[in-house]
Amino acid sequence: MIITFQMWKIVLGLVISGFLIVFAVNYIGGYTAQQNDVLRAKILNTFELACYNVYNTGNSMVFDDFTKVPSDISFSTTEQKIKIAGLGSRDIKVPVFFSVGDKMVIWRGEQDLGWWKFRYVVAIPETEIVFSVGSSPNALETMEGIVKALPDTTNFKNKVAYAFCNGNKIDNGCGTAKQCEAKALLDVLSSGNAPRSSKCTADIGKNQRLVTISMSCTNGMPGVCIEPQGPASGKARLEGSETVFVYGDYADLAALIAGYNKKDAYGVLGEAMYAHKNAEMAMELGVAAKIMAKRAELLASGLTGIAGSGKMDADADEMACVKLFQELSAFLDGVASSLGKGVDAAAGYMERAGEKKREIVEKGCDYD
Amino acid sequence: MTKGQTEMFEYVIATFFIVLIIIFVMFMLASYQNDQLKLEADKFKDQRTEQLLKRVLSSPLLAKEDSVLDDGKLIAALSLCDDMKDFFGEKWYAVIAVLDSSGKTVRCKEDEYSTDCNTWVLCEENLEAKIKLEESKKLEETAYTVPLNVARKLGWVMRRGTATRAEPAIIEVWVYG
Repeated sequence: MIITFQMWKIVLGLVISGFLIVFAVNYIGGYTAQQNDVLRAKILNTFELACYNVYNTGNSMVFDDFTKVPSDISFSTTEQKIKIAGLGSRDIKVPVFFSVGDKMVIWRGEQDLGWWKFRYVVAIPETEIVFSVGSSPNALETMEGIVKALPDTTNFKNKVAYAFCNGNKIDNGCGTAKQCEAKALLDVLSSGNAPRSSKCTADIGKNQRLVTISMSCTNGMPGVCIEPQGPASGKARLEGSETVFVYGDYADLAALIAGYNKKDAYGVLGEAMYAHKNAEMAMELGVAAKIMAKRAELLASGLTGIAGSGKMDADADEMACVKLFQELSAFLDGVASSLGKGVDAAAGYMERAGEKKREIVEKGCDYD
Repeated sequence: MTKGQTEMFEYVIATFFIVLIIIFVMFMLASYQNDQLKLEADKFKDQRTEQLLKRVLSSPLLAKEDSVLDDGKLIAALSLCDDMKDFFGEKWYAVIAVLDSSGKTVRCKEDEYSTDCNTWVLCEENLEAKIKLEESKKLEETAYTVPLNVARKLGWVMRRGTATRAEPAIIEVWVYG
């Protein structure tokens, strides 16, 4: 009897322990994965809020939360959303050009159109931008534009530095032992003593990004290849993408360099960032043009009304502002209505609106 | 009951309690995790509202400079809620009220520049949608109120021209969903 009972105890004990062990292992596995997801979601929230903060305040920051949990972040151009594998998406309502890495710098850039400032956030890991400069006559100006459109990390722990590729060698951009950052490189470039560089055959490291400025870029060139065709305009190509990117400002190039050749679930990140920049800019310009046009029209009618009521002399200097506001309003209406055909289609109106706004500011009719 | 049966019974009871404890711990952990997630979601929502407020106050779309909104832009924005939604996101509205001694609310009208009005409601359509949600008791909202200034572009009128007048005001930004 005792032997039978002990046998039962052993068998039952084994069955129950087996069940408990399998259950506990499964549960702990699921719980750990869930906690990992929660942590990744928290990190994505923090990243989103960090981007908003930088966008709203203009104060740059370093972000190294991605070191805690590797996060597979991608960007869907069709939905214009940042996605994290298995955790849904975030619809960041500001233009953010990013590629995820361990030690990231988040910085706000600005493209001044005269009548509107297009602000964007660049969020990239610690990087060295390696320029390979050919004989393009616009090379110096293009480099300056790129440096100004990318994070200035002076006094920051995480750096975006610059170098020049000369054959199989990569030289410090400032010719010093210290890392060459934006401010120092701009001084070098403005002195006209930019280091010469030739076709780059050097190995580009994991934390380096090659930017070639050339008279002609071909498909399959490494990194980003830029073919300037005038001041702040030209074509660019990106490693891994077949597309020829037409750029009309340096924010386009900042988007390409920020995303670079990193691949995600939706393709090449640089390509997605370029599309994101143009979608955000078109939306922003459309909204801004409508509001600014209406404001100019309101101010023109307000001034006319004040003069009509006799509170202000009809020959007061400020009455000259009425015509200027009306002209600005017309140009901005032109911007808003032609943006449907793309940002390039509105370029002419935008330029004239910028000039008119400057004239308005110069004549003291409005603030900058 | 034989000794064997008693021991067997004890054994089953002990196992039952162990399983019960494990289930209890599981529930505790799951409930703790749910609370944490809810807390995180609430915190995130608050932070988003705060960011929206910061954006409204600093964006050149409505502001002359940080925390100084431009009255001309505010009037222009009154009729452009869809565009404002594209720019700032969905499901929000804002009320900006100048703090004047009259204490009377005079709503600013679309398409009419006036320095006599003192209240602008941005995205009033959203306010109506919010009321509907409120009726269906499906509403969760967060709101922030902060002081700011409104720059009246044609605030001072003189014989030979006009000058900008800054007036103290408050802004309430509501985010709901």
